Amino acid sequence: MKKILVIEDDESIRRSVGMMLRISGFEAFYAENGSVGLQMAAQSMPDVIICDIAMPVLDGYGFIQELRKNPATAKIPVIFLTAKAAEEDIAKGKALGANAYLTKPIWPADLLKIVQEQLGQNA
Amino acid sequence: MAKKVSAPHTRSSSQADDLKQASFHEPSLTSHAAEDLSPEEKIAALEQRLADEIARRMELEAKLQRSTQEFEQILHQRTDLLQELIMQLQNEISQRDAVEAQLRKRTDVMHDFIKQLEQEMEERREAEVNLRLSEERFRTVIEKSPVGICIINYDGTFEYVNPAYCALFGYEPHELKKKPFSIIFDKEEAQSAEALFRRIFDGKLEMRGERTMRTKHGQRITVLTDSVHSDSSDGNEQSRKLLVFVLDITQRKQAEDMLRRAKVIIDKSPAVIYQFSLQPNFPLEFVSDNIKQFGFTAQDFTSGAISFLHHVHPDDREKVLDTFRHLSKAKADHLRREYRLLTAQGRTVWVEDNLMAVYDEQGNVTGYQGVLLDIDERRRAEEEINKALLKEKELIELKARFVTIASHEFRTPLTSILLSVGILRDFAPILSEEERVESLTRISNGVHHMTSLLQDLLVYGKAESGEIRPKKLPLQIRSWCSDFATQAQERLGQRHTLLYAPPAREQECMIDESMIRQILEHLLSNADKFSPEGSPIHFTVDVQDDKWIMAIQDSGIGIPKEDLPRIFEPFHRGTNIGNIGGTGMGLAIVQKMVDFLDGEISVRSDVGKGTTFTIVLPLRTLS
Repeated sequence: MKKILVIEDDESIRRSVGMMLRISGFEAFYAENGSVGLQMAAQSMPDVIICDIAMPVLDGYGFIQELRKNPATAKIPVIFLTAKAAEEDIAKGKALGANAYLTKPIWPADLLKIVQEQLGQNA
Repeated sequence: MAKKVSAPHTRSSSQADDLKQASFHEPSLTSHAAEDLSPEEKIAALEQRLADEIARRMELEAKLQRSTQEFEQILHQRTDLLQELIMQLQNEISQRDAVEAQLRKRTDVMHDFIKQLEQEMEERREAEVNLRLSEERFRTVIEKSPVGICIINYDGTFEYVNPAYCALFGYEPHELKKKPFSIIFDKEEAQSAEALFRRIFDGKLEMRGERTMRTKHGQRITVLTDSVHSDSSDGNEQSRKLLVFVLDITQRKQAEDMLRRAKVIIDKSPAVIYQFSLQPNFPLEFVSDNIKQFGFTAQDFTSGAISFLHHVHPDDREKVLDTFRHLSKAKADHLRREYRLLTAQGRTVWVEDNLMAVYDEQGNVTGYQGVLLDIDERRRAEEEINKALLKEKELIELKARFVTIASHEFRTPLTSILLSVGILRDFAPILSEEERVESLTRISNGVHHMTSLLQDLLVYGKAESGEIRPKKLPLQIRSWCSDFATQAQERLGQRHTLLYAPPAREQECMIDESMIRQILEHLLSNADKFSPEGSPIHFTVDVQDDKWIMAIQDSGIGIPKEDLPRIFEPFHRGTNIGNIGGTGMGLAIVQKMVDFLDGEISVRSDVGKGTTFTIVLPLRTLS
């Protein structure tokens, strides 16, 4: 079973994404900010990470930079799922190494499709 | 005299004849002795003859001696006479010399006199020629003179008019000759002109100054007149003449009039005109009088008493000097500058200076003429507009940021709703009842959250745009607070106890009650959300002389230091709030309401211990 790490400070979204992943046959892990997310990524080595950007403690940009620094986690695909929809935010996210950049709100099917794409590429 | 000296001469000649006779006898004796007698006889004869001869000779000698004596006597006499004559002659000669000298002297005097006479005659001839020339010149001058000249008789008629005079008044010379002088005056003025003329002729008035006269064609012209009296040559009073000079100054008067009007316009206009030459230090040659609007006189600058550059604001002085230097080199036709001027009172005034080149006849730039315009109000208005624009720009940026944040804030509940709707739609057959309810609950919460957010945004938006107008009504502070505390406790229920400390006295004030209520409800809501259940909330009210002070104190999670400066910004939420709900608009709305009431809000917080918000409202403005 593929492991997906969901890093999101909004509990409601975190739980919704988690439910969708579980129903779709994935194992979901959760973290409420980038700092917790880094620890969990290192511990559980997920196949894909879905990550918000605007979060307390450590935001999505900081998270991906740290993630890529660690050779063990550097290759894990990261999907940014964020309310930051400005072009410069998208460009920044991609420049920092995000594999996909999705803006909120999103249909579960669209998110799922991107997750599966990342898993396919990774596999 | 010649006759007197001739007598001695005659006598002298007879005595000489006697001597010649004696010497004649000697050769004849010598020839007879040689032929007839013996030698002795001859000798005796000779001796006799010799003795005779000697005796004759002695006699002759005596005679001669006597003659000589006589002659000498006569000679003496004659010599004396001659000496006397010579002396006489010498006297005569001296007398004659004296006369001659006198004569010569007189002759010299005569010569000098003649010479002087000749010179005088020559001078007179020259003078006559000069006089003739001068007369011709004088006539030419009068004939060619641009000044109108006329000679008027004692009876007031024209005796003579020069061409300029005729041209000036549009008459032919014969049209004026012997015509009354008053012809060149308006008919209405003719009578008074004649009276005026009489007074001038009688020396009671001088015909000098500006006058208005009339041409043949009725055109009124302004002339400058002057006159000279000419005495009669025959002593007759009525032979006197008046020489009148007339200069047409109509154009000059018009130019002067225009100049005067232009000066009035310039002086009344706000534009100061000045001119400087391209000499070292750029001296000012002209400054219009309206420079007084800056507290100076034109002379202050033109006399050099005050330097123009010295009164340019120190920060702009170099710039202005550079402009002058640039003009001096580049000889540009036109240049416009804006700079600050220091008035005589030291006030700073923004001016616009339009500099235009001044040319000489050869087309060389000799200086510049500046038109200074006080643009202080315009500059200040521009500054105000710029400030307003900047503020507007900041506001637009703030609004753009607000919209971005608001959009972000809406995206979060929308995402939750959309994900839940998607799960219900796409995974309905495999969803458990629990998952279905959870999804529906999230949709419901999301909608509720968005509604609250919209509500808060509407309130904030109205406050921000100034649409909210406080409705001031009388309010009894102590009783109102007491009621509010009761209602608040009902809402808090069992979660918290509201510890209300009322003010010591009742105080009435005029205030918008709904604003006070919104402030307190938001603060109490935060205290409720961020404090552990069961912890008390303090609501303390105090009324001082001119202040209404309220404090809401909780024992909650507190606000991290780094968040404190931003807690009143829209959508800002504490970094330590976790999943505690809220729109992030509460404190932003509170701040707006407090501002509307001219009050102040302060916060004191310790993370993990609690937070106290204190509101101070001025009673003075409320009452």
